[in-house]
Amino acid sequence: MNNKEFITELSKRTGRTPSDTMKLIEDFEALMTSHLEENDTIAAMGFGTFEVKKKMERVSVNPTTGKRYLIPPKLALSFKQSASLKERFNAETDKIEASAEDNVSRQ
Amino acid sequence: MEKKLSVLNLAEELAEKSSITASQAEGFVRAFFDVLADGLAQDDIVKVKGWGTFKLSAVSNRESVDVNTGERIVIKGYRKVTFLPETALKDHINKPFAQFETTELNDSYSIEEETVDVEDAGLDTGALPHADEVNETFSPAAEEKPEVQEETTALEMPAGTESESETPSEYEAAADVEIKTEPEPVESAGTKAGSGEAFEPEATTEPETEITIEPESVPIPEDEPVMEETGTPEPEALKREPDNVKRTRRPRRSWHYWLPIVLLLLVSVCLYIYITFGKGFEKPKYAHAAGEKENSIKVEHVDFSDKKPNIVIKTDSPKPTPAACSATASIVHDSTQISSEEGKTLEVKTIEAVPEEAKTLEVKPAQAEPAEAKSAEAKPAQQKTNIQPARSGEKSLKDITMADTTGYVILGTKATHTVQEGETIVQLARKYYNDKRLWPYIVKHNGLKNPNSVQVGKSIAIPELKAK
Repeated sequence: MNNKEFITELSKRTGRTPSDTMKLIEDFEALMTSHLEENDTIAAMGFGTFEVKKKMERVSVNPTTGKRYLIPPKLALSFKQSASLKERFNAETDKIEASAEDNVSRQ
Repeated sequence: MEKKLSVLNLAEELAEKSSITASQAEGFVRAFFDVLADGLAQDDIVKVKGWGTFKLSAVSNRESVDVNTGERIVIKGYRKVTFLPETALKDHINKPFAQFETTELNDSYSIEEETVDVEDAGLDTGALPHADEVNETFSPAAEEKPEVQEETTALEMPAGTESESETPSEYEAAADVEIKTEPEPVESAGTKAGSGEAFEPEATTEPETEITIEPESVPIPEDEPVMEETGTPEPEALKREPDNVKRTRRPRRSWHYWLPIVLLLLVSVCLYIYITFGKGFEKPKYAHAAGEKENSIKVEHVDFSDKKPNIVIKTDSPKPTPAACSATASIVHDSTQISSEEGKTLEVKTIEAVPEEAKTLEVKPAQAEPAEAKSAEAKPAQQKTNIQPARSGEKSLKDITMADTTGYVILGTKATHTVQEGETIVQLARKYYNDKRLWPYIVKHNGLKNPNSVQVGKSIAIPELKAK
């Protein structure tokens, strides 16, 4: 699903025009970005958590040249899916496996 | 401002910002994330402009251990939503740290490691041949008491002269100092002969040179007519003593730990000498057996030499003991050289020519045993080198290298040489002067603190030398 499809889908659900939706999306993104800049955590129920994490500096070696580099510290935006989202995507496979296990136990 | 924002909080703010009702905003935000989730379920990937890409990626099964039971368990693979923020968003988030850049650590690190390696090699394993010799010469001195030190230094000297080591001068200088301070040099020689067995191999390898050393060392204290020049060089030697002492002291502490290694190195070097100078190997037996006798002979030398060198020769030569043969032979060379010199004039070239021939010629008749004759022949060059400096330096063999250092005057810089890998100061001396023994001048001229470790690429000024 690309950006266009995403906008059309969202506009359908909210009953707005795509251009209107696009503007809202931009506003919403700017809002989230400004919060993340301030080290806030955004927890979207049923979807996941956006969090800015600080990565420490580290020494990295280029395996081909053997040169060593000092990678500076950085702030990185991380996302962790919520448990419910994980369940949703793994439900089918879980069901299949569960049934398989049941079969095995019955036998 | 580290808050945890929920959808409701976001919706409130969005309502303010976009001038829509709160309920509309809440509906929009919820719809936003729902669409994301649905899109993932549908296509496994959702791209949102200005935000990033959400992807569903599979995590495969992995094994782990149950914390409680310790059993191995398999954690089932699952599908995971990963988020890759857009570059613009990344940069925006990372703004506070944007000034940092990745830096290459290569240079500083490598240099440190290299220097450390070199030092280690020099101290511990002695990767370089020269370093080996240095180790030997230093370590024994460090381990033992003054008397023993003298022995070791005396013993090592010959090895050094043979195997073109750079160290001889220092040690010989040290040896000189000790000898001077001690009332009876003869005694020290005696102790040396009966010295620890650990050093026997070295002693055996170079009996001739040892012998020559001792008789010559005696004359130092008394100024003979022939040795008139001793007056001037001695002060220099004395000046240098402190340096030498320092050098020997520094390593002492750390070398206690390396005693076993150093002993191994000593043995290996002895083997090396044996292999390279295989001809002279038979000598050791004689020299050893003769050690005690030699001492007595040496004493005689001393007494006589005080008066006149020529007499000494005669008195010595009559003594035909096989063990003493080598000793007498060397002494004979000295006497012949001295006589050929006729006084105090120092003509190196003539000396060089005379002693060599004289040695071989005289040695052969004097020795009854063929083995010794061989050895004598095998090392005319060495003896020559030993004798020459004695001439110019007008002291004992131990002084030889010191004599080298005092026999010339530094007039200026003759050339500059950029050190290549594998080069040593001694090699430079040989290259520029055709005489490796002149290396101390290069060291002195450049003020090198450690002549055994010269960095590649360093430019060395080669001094212009003039004989005094």
